[in-house]
Amino acid sequence: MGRVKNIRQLFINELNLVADDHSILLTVIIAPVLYFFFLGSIYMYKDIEQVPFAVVDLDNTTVTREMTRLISSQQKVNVTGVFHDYEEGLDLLNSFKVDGFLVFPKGFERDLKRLEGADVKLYLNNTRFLPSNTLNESISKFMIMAGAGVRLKYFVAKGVPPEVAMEEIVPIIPELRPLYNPTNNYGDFLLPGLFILILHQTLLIGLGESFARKRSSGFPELKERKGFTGIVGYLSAKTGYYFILYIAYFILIYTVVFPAFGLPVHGDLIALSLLSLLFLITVLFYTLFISSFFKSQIGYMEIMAFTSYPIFLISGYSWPVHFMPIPLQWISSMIPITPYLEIVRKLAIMGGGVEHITSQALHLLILAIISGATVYFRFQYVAKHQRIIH
Amino acid sequence: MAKIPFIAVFLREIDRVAGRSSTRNLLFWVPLTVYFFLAFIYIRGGLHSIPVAVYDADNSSLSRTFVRYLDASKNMQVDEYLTSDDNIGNYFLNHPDIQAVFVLPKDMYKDILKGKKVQVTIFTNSTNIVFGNILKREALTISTTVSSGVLLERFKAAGLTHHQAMNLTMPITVHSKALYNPYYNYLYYLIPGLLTVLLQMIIFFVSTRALNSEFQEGTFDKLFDISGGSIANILFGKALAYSLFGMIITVLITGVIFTTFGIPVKGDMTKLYLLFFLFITANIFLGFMISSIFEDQILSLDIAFFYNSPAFVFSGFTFPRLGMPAFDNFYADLIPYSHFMTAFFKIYQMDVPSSYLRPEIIALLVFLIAGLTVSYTALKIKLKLKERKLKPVNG
Repeated sequence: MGRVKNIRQLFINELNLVADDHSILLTVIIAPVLYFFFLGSIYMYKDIEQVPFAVVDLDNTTVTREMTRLISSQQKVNVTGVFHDYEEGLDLLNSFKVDGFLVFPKGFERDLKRLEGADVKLYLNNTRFLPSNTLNESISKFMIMAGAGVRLKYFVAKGVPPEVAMEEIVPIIPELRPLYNPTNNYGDFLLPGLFILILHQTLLIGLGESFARKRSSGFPELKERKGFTGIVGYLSAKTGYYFILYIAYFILIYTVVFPAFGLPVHGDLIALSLLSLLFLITVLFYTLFISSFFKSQIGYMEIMAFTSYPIFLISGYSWPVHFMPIPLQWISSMIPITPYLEIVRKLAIMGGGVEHITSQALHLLILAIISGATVYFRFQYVAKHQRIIH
Repeated sequence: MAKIPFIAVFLREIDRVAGRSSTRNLLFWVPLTVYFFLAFIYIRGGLHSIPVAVYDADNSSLSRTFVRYLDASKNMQVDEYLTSDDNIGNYFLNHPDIQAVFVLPKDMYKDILKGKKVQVTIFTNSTNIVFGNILKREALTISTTVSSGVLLERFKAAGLTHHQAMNLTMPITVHSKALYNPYYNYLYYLIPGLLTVLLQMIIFFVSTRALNSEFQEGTFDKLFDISGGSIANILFGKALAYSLFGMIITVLITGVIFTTFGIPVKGDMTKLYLLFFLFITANIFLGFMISSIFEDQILSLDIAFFYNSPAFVFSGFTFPRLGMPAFDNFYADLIPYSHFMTAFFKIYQMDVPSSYLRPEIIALLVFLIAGLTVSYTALKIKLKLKERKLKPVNG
């Protein structure tokens, strides 16, 4: 009875600590919700349209002007100006006012009409890939269609009926069908990973700050606790609040945040819930273990602030793990977010079943067991050390 | 011999940094470990030989040519040959390594001989658009190439010369020039951006605790004496110390990481270092601003963390700002990194004349002046309040 009371007291103490410590409060209560919507809003339009583009028309003929007009009617391209000097295009590109420009050389119309092979030059600012890719794709497709138009005219002039000519002008048409992200947009790709990372990092920093703060005062409650039940009871009471809070955040993510940003939650929801729980427990273990080595709250926070980018990038969510050096592949397999993001991708986004995530679930379970045992031994050592000091 | 007060503050700050494990970690261990770690992730630079599958329902000489083109592409390799296109929706779930399935339809060759157009369907696993964009580009290129081959033969068979047939097949040739990073190298693209955003965080974090720690630890009076009673000496002396550390990290980025990983700098190094110096000092004074307003070090650090941690995504570096809502664009303008990043790429990859850097330099100067003015005023007010508190006691 006394032990239960003690655990309840520890749980209440932790609640009071969160309420009193503005840093922990900010990290675990305000930050997750704020970041979901604040960072999420960056990608709310999902993709880019109307990428600034310029045309350098050295030919200045009816054909080039008509082609410029048609280019500017493309959804993804915004022709901000037509110039008559290459240097003007380059100037706009160098000052980031446009992401690319097209040069119609002198004699373009003449070459095209005489079927002597007309050339255009497309200059792209490839310091950033997304606008450059968007322009490259739009302009290339446009020019393929313009070429088809020239052939259509040729066939019709030769007396081929237009409906027959239409079949002949482009023999092979590539039909791209992006699955699970029908418009192949950036938002649908990045947002699920970003939301999970926000949860991971706020828990890692917030809970860790609480433990680092306790460590700086020497874990006073831990010194009276002995044996397996003593240590497990202490850790459960200390982390219970965060556990409940983050379960609520997971429910919020999948029922409110995902739908709010138009992200799907398909697949086996029971499996997703159970594995989210397992992921949460594993992250709790990792946080307890890492924070137990820090002697000050501020020192812990300063270091952990720099883990967000490495953790996300090594998880393989954007850059494939097998493209990394072998030692980094090992590190990647040692962090719980790696299998969990794969689980989210396969279950929630791709609509898979349990049979598709068996290896990731097992991976996560192994990490949970190993990290749980490591935390137990670590705190057994800390408790023993505390008793010796006291 | 008495030291010049400004130099005395500078030397004292160097001592303080060296004596504190927290600042040592931030200025030494974090860059050294995190920078190498991030660079190693992207050491291969580009994504090549992306595994794809093919379902060749035609199995004709034309469809086999198409498959050969796929396999010969530097960016793709055909790893699987399917015997049916049933259940392609679930194919990617069971084959997580395969990123695309090319379906070549039955009677492809026959239809083309009859003058009919055919459709090659490319299913992609677009949960990761890094692959998606490359595959889209390759699919378009290969289809156009094979399509052009078909047209060329057709026109030649109709009696046109090779030259005429060629010009009719490709009436307009697009010569694409992807300037500054022509091979889509992710190491050149992402790593400089990531390392510099972390530099901002490091400098901002240490500066955020530079002044309030003096108040909390009761050492401000001594600092004030050393500075000769000048707030300007305090601010500039400390700023010089942190900018020195910032420049050492800059040398680590440009001299060690860039050299080790073969990341080329196209622009002038002097210009680049001057830009880094301005960027670092702007962040130092913004950090001082927070440090002089808020006495609680943890609260200051919280503010620094919330302000800095999304800097990379707001900068428009990976997702352009033209795709963001207006309020996100406004917030992005309030972060020095957004401006620095543009100027940095103008020197590092584009090597543009200095006049192109003017808007970013002005923006960084505004941050610097704002940070300096607010820090100076806040410290002045603090000192006045302190004096007022002491007066009745002394009186």
